[in-house]
Amino acid sequence: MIWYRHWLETRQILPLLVISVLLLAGPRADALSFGPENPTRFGREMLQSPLARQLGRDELLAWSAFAERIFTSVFLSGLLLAGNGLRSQAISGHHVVECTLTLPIARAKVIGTRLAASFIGALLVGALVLSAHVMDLLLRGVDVPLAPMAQSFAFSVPTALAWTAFMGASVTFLRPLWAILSSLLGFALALPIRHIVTAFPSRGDVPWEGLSACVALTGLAVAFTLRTGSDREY
Amino acid sequence: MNGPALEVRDLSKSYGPHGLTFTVPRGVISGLLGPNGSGKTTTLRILMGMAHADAGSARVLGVPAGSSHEIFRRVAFVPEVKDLYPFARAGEMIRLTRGFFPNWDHELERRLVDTFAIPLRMKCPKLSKGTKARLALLLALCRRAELLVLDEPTDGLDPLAIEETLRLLVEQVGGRGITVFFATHQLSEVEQIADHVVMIKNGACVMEGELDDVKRRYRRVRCVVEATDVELPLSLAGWRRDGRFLTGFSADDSDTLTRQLAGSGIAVLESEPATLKEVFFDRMEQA
Repeated sequence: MIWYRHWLETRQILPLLVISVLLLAGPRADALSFGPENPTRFGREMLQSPLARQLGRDELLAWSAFAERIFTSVFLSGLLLAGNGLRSQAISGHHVVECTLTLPIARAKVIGTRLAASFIGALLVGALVLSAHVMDLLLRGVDVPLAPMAQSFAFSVPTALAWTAFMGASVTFLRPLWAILSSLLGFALALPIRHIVTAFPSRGDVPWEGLSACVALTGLAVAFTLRTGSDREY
Repeated sequence: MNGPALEVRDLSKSYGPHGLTFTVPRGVISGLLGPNGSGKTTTLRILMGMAHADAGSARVLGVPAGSSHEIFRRVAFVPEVKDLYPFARAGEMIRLTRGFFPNWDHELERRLVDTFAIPLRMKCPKLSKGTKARLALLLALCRRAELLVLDEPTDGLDPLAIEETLRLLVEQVGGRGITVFFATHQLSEVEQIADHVVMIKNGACVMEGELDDVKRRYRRVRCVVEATDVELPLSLAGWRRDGRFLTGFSADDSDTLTRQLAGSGIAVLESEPATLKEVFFDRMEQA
């Protein structure tokens, strides 16, 4: 039944999420203008990767556009779904738990499943973006670079997990307004690297540093959220 | 199953209870009385595991307070501030809560929705204070708990709704043998439905017991001082003196008191059972 609670909380943010994703990460007329013409945006190092060298110009551009879209979508999903007051109509993370205190359910389960719901939501948005991008390319008659796109999508999973966990943690110790402002700042800071982050795996090696950072951030954020939520007095 | 519903021993917290000790037996309606800031709400929150005690112990239906969320399968709590999700409608709050309780009383739910005139499609933030209180009560009553703990359950209700609420509580205790423990400022509500009372001041219990017993024991006494040079016994220190007349309250047996006062040259003119209000004010002054 706790999932019903999460659905009640999440449903109101869905229209905003869809609109935001469409505006910032959806199909765009100038998508093919991004990429190798501007290597500093796409990532000069990535262009030298074995996988990139195997791709034609159009495929490279398509991959570049997807890497940007999936990254933006993941960040937006985390921002909107994981709390920070937006998902819960500006109530704090503490209040999220407070309303379930008289129900026979552990606080950790409420917090954990809420985080899981955010993560699942972010993944669904990612899958939607992937499908839309493939459809977009097919309609344009461009060959779909499936392997690089799949790798970018795969790397977006730990990124989404880390980001939603961080969002969930920030709302437990910051007031909603500050949490929203700080996460918007984080989003703004991440925008310049939006093309390249999820394309790292295609350099030809596993991005251990990035994966380790995601795992560490996820672990710390979840542990902090659970600890704070379980010990807190109401 | 035969132990007390609530057992509090030397409970202390930096704010709130201070060496608080009391026991609430099962199957009664017990009222928790005390002035503002006496520690009622904090005590309830400790009992419900929402705050941690600095010292002492508390057991709820035999289970240490705050040790397990599973206790809420047997206990329902309505806090002073009614916690309802701002993103849910009244009907959705009912559906959400119902899902956690297999023994949910659907018949009572239908009845209370009608009686309390709860607008099921209205968002919780738009509900009036009184309707929020009624909805919170519905959510607590329909789960068929063994123990109902209520903090100011009638706060914000109109007189009709208050009567309905009190009647419901009595009905639940009579029909299902549950225990109700409620904190309130309304002495009349306690007098009307409670059969057990706990009075606290500055975090400590100043009186507890069966309400009938308290009222039978506690008497309003009016005396006359027969001689001018009588020195009043210490036990009458808080009594009001008006010329030769003395008025006060005593928990002593009527005959015993008459004998004691006669020895001091004081004759008892009247000795009547005190009202709960009189007992409360006297205990608050004396404590």
